[in-house]
Amino acid sequence: MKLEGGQISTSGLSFLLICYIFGSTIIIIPGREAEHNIWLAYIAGMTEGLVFAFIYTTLAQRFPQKTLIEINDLIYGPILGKLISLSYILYFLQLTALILRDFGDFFRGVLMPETPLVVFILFSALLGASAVRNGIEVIARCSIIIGPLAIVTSILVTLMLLPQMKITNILPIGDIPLKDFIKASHTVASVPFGETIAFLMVFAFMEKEKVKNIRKLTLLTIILGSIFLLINIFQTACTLGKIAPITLYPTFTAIRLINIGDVFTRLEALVIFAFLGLGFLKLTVSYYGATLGMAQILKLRSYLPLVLPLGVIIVVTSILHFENTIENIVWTSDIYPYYSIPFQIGIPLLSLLIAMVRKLPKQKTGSKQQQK
Amino acid sequence: MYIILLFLGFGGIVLFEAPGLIYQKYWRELIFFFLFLGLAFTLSLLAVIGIKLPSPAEITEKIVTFFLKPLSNLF
Amino acid sequence: MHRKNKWILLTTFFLFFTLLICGCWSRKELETLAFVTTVGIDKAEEPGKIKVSLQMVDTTKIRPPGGGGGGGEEKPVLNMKKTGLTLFEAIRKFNYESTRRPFFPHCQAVIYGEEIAREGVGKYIDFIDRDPELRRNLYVLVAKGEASKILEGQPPLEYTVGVSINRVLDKYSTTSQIIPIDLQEFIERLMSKTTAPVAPIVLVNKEKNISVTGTAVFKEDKMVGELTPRETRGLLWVLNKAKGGIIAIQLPHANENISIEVINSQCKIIPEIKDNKLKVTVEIREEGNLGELNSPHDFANEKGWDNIEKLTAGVIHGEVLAAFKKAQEFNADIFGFGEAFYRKYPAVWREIKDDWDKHFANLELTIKVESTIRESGLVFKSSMPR
Repeated sequence: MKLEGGQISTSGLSFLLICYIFGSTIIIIPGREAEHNIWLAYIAGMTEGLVFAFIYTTLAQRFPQKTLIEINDLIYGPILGKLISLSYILYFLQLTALILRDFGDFFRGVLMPETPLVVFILFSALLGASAVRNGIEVIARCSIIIGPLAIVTSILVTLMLLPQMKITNILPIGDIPLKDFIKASHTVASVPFGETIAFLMVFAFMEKEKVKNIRKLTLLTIILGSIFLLINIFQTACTLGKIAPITLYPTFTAIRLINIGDVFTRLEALVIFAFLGLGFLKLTVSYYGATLGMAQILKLRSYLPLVLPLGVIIVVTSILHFENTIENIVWTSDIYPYYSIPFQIGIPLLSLLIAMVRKLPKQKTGSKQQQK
Repeated sequence: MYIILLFLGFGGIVLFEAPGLIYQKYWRELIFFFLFLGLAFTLSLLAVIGIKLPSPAEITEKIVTFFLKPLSNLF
Repeated sequence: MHRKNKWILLTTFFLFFTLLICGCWSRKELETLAFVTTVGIDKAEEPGKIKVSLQMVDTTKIRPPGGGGGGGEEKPVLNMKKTGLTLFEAIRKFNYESTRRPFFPHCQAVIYGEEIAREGVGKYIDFIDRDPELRRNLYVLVAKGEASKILEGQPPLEYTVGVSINRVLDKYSTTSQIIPIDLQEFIERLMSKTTAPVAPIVLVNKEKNISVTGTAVFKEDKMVGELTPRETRGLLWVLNKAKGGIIAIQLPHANENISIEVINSQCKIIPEIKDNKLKVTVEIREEGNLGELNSPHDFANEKGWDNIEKLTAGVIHGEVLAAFKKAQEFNADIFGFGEAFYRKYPAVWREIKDDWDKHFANLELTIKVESTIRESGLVFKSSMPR
């Protein structure tokens, strides 16, 4: 069943992953309970995220060239597997809706307050739909362009903020109750890193020879992406100090402070472009995962017809979710880390264990043979 | 007023996708296409008219707080 | 056939959307905007309300400096006042009279009237913090008297009061006796449980020019007192912000004095807890040049030079001490010593932070100053007759 004919290169996957992690975190920085220790929370969260990624990539390598849906079928059997896959599809749909919502909230709140939210969400969804229709290979290629641009922008911005950074804002280190710290780092682990579960829909399209490298590649890429993210977090914490936990969009607020020689001021546009590109890629990946997954469950010959209807559903859900921006922030930091546990850790871990116990995937010859 | 836009939009989507599917005789896909489109249409119609639909965020919030209450007593 | 239809459909769609996509919902046409450069906030006659004054620039009337200069030229600024319960409400009321919508991204300064500063600025700062149009690096000041009077000042070299304040504060290091406080820093201090906010004081002098002098000290959000220019510099030494300025030293002999030009300074704040007492050591290292030597004595030798350096250090010591005494008098930790203790002793901090007022009053301050004078200009002995 070849729903997707495209193939992703290693650089495509890497950049896609980096853009995905950077994605919406660069604007709405989760884990703000940690206050000035947020960078520690990020290191902890990143480590937890690496564990997730390890599980996902092991599954991907165990079942080469199979998407999450197909893996679920193999592990849990046709009926239970389809049920689990369906819940994942719903999760991905919701994920896309949330990303769109973050987009819309940001642009509406900061740039164009009079414009109705639905306009931003609709257009972003439309753009995403067009990308999804073109297939994952095209999306990965887009990320090869957008990714480096975003990384360079974020480093440039950090350099330009150096005069405004006060390293004393980071001190004292480690002064935070353990409970808050764990919550903050788990929030960090679930928002950018745990959501890479969507990549289990993407790994299947790596070139066949490169399958063995998926795990190493992914883990290295995540570490690299996290380093860039960490630089960003450091910069925000040092620049904004106490104000960081109360701002809605810390990176944006920090960038407004850039003032080099009175010439380089008002550089918010940089952050906006970066966010546009990265957010677009992130939403495209989860949109793609949802659409492809649904097509696979229903055993369709092409996922194209589902793109637009699902897109409309996503747009409506996006608006339905929250009444206002504050609900978005509160929900994402209080409810989402727990709600996502079964999807990000629970089921993947279970799948891996079952696969290892049952020695899946079985060889084509039909007899149970030892899997390396 | 928005309902007109809604109809236009959905009409556009149908015009965009349906001919291709019919030409390729993808009947199964066509069925599901209209199924999902119908769902989407209903949802957006309800939203545009103004009927309050349950928010997934609220539902998840209820579920999570239900589970978390006994746990938070442990800490 | 289908291909062609699809293209037609797509093109129509995209053309239609391109019309909508240019953000015309939130469009702002240049001629409909009044660029606000300064905001003044005062107490209104009605209790509980505030009077907001805006200085707005009419961009179409700005003429290049070359043509049309001199008296009789129309000033392109407009000052208006409105009252309201909240800041936001008062600002929107300007639209009753002003044909253009006040537009804030170029606002350079927010000035609080003295009366309202003393009552508390807490209620009138959230809007500036929250609204995306106002920038974080605008300056916050306190007016001597009413802020609206400041807006009526006529700085001779600049168009607007806001720009004039901005430029004066940017050059603060020429004297280091005024402290530039932008919104970011003011709010940080406001939010801190121990550090006291400060803001420079601005007034209109007899020649109708805008003058920034001295500093207002706040306790939480209420203004409780002022620092003289000398005390302000004392504060700046400790905050590591005194990067310039002139130290004029009166020599023991009458009619003799020295000017030292400060080039740079660094300060280390070292908090200590010894025998249950809170101590702070402030180590200042200053570098300067000899700017003026009005004394027939010969200082161009090691002993003489050391003498100058000691004298300079003494002056700095005095300034810091004066600032500290004033701060203790107001019981306002303007130096950020509380934060310094937090950074070094976080565990102890949790116990003492609620009584910081008490601890600050009993704080033991040790000031160590090291002054180095490097250059002496073009001459090494004074030309005064002996």
